[in-house]
Amino acid sequence: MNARIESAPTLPSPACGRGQGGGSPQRIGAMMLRYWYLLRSSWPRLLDLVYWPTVQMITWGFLQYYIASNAGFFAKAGGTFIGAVLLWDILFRGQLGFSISFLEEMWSRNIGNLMMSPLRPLEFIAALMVMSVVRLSIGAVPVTLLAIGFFGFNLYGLGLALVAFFFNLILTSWAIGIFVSGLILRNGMGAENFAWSITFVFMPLTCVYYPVATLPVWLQPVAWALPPTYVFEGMRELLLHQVFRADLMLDALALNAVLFAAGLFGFLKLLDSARRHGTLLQTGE
Amino acid sequence: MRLTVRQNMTVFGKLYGVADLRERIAELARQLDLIDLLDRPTGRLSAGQKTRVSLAKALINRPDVLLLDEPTASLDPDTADWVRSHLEHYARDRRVTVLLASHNMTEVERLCERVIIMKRGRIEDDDTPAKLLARYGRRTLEEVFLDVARGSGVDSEAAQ
Repeated sequence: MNARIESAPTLPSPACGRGQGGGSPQRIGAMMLRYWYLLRSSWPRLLDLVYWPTVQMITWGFLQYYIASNAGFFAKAGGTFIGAVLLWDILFRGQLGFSISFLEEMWSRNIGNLMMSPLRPLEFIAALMVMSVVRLSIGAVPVTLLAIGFFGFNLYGLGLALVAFFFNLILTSWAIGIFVSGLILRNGMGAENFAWSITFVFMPLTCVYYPVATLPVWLQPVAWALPPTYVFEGMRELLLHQVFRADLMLDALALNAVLFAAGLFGFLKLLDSARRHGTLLQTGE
Repeated sequence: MRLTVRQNMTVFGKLYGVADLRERIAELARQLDLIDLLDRPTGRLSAGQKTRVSLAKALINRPDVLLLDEPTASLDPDTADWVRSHLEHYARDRRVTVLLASHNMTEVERLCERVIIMKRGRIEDDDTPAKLLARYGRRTLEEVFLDVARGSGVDSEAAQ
């Protein structure tokens, strides 16, 4: 159906915070409510949140179990593979959680409706960020509990280090998710594949399962330019040598600040371009 | 499309900061004959029902301006007439502005006080329906539209 029916209030509505300097928690809440309705309306999607992280954790867990029982060094490297899998999932699922909530709007051709409403782009992004954490929690928490049951690996045993790891990884995932959303807004659903695959570009370079020193020397500066590299190095330092490297986390935070600002800038520019070229209403399934 | 009608209206009501949201949803459901559909997923509704839901979403914040892009496209004649009647009453009773884009000139004739005819992204003519009919010497806006589309209307100076 081609019909579109929109409304545009000419009078500001004080109740929804229009015209004020900051964002509106009510509008962010409204978007979160929408994504929550969408999430709970589809049990296959809920199952999907848990399914792949579980399969991945079990596969890598048994691989580590096998290697540990056959090699002296790896016997001491207890938990690095499972830890890497779980932390990688924070990065990957965080970005995917952000992107899928965004894609829901594209699939249902709702972007035009949202852009007509008082919702601001930054409020939209804030809602997507919160929902990525909600989706990630639904998928990751059961898997971390399974890791304790299957392999005796307690991710929560990392304590405050886990908070630093999580915060840095989720920041990177948001930065990627925000930029990819801008690409989809500007280029339509042809760019949807980026949402599913872009984070995998980071997998070899961020040294998820091996130290940075494993990479060729010329490639190592590239790895160190990516915030997740610091997290995975930090995790290995913690698990292998029981040392928490706060310096690595601060470096990652600084890089994340740059990456996040770049992602946000890119999104706003691409949104502006989409508005000028009229592509906002030309996207859909 | 997986959201129910009520959930859709709730989200948009919250986005617009509608204070009396529950009552407003009930009121619109009564006016637009949506009471039985409130808890059904929007994606499973017929085209006519979806149009009524779109109208309800658009009206939830009692807007001063309504933007309508082919509001009756793909609707059966009965539903299309129902939608036009509702829009007519809403615009008249609440004294709101309706900006309507349509290729259905019967609809334009019925709903619009001022008509802007566009061709290849440029405004070709702009006047009240009565003056357009008089200027082109036609009986219906459909005929005026065809004149403009086929380049056989009044010359551009006269149109100004």
